[in-house]
Amino acid sequence: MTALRFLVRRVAATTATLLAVAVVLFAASEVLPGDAATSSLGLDATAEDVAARRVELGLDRPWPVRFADWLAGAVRLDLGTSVMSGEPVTRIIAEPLGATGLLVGVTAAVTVPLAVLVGLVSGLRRGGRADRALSAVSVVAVSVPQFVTAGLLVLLLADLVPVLPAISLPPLGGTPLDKPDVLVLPVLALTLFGAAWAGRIVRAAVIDADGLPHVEAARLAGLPERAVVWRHLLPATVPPCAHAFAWLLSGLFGGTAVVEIVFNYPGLSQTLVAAVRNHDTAVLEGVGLLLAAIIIVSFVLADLLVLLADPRLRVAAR
Amino acid sequence: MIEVEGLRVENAAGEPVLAGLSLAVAAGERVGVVGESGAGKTTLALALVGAVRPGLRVVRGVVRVAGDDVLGASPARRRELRRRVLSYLPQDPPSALTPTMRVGRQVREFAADRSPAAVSRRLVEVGLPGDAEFARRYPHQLSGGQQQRLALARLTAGDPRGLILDEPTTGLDAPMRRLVLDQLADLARRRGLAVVFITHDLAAAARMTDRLVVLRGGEVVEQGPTADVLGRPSAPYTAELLAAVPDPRVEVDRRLPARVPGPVVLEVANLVAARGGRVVLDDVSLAVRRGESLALLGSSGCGKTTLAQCVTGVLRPRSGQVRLSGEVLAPVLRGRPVTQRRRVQLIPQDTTGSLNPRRTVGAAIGRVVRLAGAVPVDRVADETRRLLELVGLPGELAGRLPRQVSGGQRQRVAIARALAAGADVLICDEVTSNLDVRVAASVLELLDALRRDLGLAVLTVTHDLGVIARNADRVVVLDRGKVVEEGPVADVFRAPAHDVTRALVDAAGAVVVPVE
Amino acid sequence: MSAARRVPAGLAVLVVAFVLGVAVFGPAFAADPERIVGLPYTAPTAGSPLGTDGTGRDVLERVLAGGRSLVTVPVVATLLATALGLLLGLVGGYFGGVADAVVSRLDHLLLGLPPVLVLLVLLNGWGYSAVTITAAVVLTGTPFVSRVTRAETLHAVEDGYVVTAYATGDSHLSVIVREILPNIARPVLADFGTRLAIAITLTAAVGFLGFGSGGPNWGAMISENVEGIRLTPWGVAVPALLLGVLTVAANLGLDRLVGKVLR
Repeated sequence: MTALRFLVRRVAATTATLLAVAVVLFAASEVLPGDAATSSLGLDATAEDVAARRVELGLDRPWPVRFADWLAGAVRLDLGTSVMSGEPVTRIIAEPLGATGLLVGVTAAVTVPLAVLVGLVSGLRRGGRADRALSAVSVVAVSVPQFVTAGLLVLLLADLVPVLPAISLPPLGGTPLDKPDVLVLPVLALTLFGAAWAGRIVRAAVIDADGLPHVEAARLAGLPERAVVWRHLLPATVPPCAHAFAWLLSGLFGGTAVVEIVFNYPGLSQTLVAAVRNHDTAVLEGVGLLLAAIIIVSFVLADLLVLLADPRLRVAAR
Repeated sequence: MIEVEGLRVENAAGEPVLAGLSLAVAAGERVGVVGESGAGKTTLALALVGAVRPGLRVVRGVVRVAGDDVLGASPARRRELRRRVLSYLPQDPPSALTPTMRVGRQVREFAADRSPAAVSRRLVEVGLPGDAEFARRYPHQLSGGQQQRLALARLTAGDPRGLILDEPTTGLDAPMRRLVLDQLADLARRRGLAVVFITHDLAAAARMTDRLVVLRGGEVVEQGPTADVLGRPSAPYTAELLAAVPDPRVEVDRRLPARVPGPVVLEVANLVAARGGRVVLDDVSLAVRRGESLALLGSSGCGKTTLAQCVTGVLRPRSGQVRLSGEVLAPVLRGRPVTQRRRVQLIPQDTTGSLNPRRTVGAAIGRVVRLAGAVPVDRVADETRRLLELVGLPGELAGRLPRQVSGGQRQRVAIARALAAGADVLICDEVTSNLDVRVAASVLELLDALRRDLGLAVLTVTHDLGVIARNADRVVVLDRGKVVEEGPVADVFRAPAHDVTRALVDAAGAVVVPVE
Repeated sequence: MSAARRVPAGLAVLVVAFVLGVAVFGPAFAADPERIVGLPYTAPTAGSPLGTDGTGRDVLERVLAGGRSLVTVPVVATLLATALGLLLGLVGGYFGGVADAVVSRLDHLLLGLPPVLVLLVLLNGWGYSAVTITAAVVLTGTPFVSRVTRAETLHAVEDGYVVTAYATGDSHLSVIVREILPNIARPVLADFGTRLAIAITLTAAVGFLGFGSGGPNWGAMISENVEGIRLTPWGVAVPALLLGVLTVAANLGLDRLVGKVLR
């Protein structure tokens, strides 16, 4: 049962990492100056006001107690209450999470096949004309900050050639799905970066796999090129690529920040930035824990994919 | 069936790799192509299936297989030829198996008849189980021998009329090598296949072929019936190759009688070591005296490399001691004082890795000379030169980088560096297995001379009986982590007491000239 | 390189030099970037060749003044991250055992944090300063350097020449400095430019998200002026282009340069 043991070990490691992230997040808001009491009262509050507020919010208790409290809540999906609005953090997060999830989902659906295609074409014909052109484009797409790309896209597509909305605000009370064209520019901006970045990883994986003895042997044994690529070469590229895609897509949840803001898209990043602006630590910690969980779960999913793709990990030798 | 006419292949610098080579193989004929590295053997093998390695190009010449020009054929026709007419079995055949495909699919992919029954017949034909359970296994679930058979079953599933075998036994120990060759010979005989057998191993070529082609620098030096070429070589080069691989059982008699041995320098006592939770060395003890050469013999996986690693302090043993002149050595290198570290030096199999690729040969040795402090700083260069000459290298070599010298030269540099450190114990780990036979012979000679002149204690780790026959006084045979036999080399080789030793001695690579 | 390829390469170098010049020396030529010179979002005039922004300030002045911190802060931060990553990776890879376990766990943890989140948490606590940004770049950049360094060090140790050097009498420090460092420098520094580009992006993002000092900043200008894009595009287009050239140059040019210098 190598597969089962492998999975158990991964889940254990995952839980440990998530716990570590929780500690780091909590410690960061402890160590760094400023707490909820001062930020919720404003600048002209007196020292007595602040002390009273601290008692009211439970901030006078020692930190291990508060950490245990927070963690116990997080396990029950209760991330505390925002001191600014008085609303539960989970409710504040829910809707933006859905919006960002939609954006990431659509981006993934476009990015993954595109990156695989780009990587395959440039990896198999490395040094060729297509490879050189794609490499040049992807260096630019990877290096230029996403908000710059987004800004230039707005300039080009929404302004000079006004076919798409420059601002991706869904209709009041609706979701982005009610007006799908608001998704086009944000997805385009994210895909340009994602496909270029992941395409380079796929390309490297394809080149590595192309040099494997069993791939060369399959060619020398006279198999048609399509069979060589699909049956012999591609499975070997899964392990390096699975983790790259997991990193990219889970990172999007936190990394869409700048793109969402360019387009005024009502996603998680808006919430996050607003929380920082208001010193709303509870919301910040909640979103942080959520993002870490998303990242870690995607890595476990990537591990599962690798497990499926490589029988050497799944089935014990005899 | 195969005709090569005036084939010339050049590298990017325009130097010939194959210099206008011509060769013909009839249907059902078994032809051996032998030569040292750089002779163009693999380039020739690949050209026969219409492939050229990157960086090389065919300048002129024709390769015809079953009447078709392979190099000029369309890709589709070339693939057809590779599957149905002349198939190529690469070096290390198990590595050609795709790890993500089940046994049945691996064979079915090439088979003309794709029914499960036909696939099962293919498997049975090479001595593998033909049941459905076996067909569902993955390559990593097979033993090494089964992987070899599967690679062969896969390649012959398309019913080719000929096989190209490119060093199919590289990296195998003697008993395994024999098994694989017998199986190949058997299949070729039953199917009446033409065989082009590419090898540097004359003993294997003698067993496998009817005709022999000796290649050197891309040219044919000699060709003819195998018995003639090996029995009465007409080219001096062939004779040299033959002389470099003597029969170990005969060679032991030619050795000078061992000198009166000195005191024990290196002692291993009750060593137990494990890798990944598995015990690979189980209560091993041995001792090497000053001026003595002790060989550690065993097939792959017997624990001999583990023992070398425990002695050099790379691996921490579970229990037991390593003693140097009576002093107990710390289990890992980091715990040993400089003087002890310097006295025990490893000469590894792969010297490419043991030399810093960015440091010249002279700088590598000079640094050790300076650290040893035996000579004043202004004489370091002279001492370096002296050491290079001591190991039979010209002083000019000092300015070259490791990649600019040959494998045999690198091996000598590693020896010179060990001497610079002031070593009196050398651990030689398969030092010659990557070298061509003639170069290997000269490195072994050097090691033997140095041992006699400087009174070194040498522990030689190897699976090659030829090395032991030439270089060792005593031999310790290791099997599955345990010492199974020990004694003077001549006695052990002539009358092996243990089955494992007997199997190793029987399979040893003597060139037996086939009788016509 | 053929002549046909040399011309665009030379042109690229000129463009990059120009952008770098604007970023580094621009502040010396900018009179007062906060001065209001006219109406909001006016088109280019002789007085203000790039027009004005949303509060009527001169776009050219703000472009000149707003690039320096995008070069200095990321360069210092990336150098710091590289040095720290090298140190951690070498210690973990060479000494192994507990040191290695600590280093790889730390890498793993830091790699699991999204860079933007790290930046925002630090901004939440410390507010905007060069130190905050540097800390964010170091925290998110170090694990990448350290991971590569560790892997390369392990390779070198596996290769044998490292152990041999120690066995023939070298000290640990001398082995690390003389044997390992020269051999791992190239792979470790190969993506210095890529990491610098990421640092520039992160630094500019701070301004873009509105957490900057409030002073002129190419990142901030993009979000400040995006509203008026229909009236005058220059307030977005110019800083965006400059920022783009800067990051592409860091990524492409610097990596090539490092590759060439280290052979």
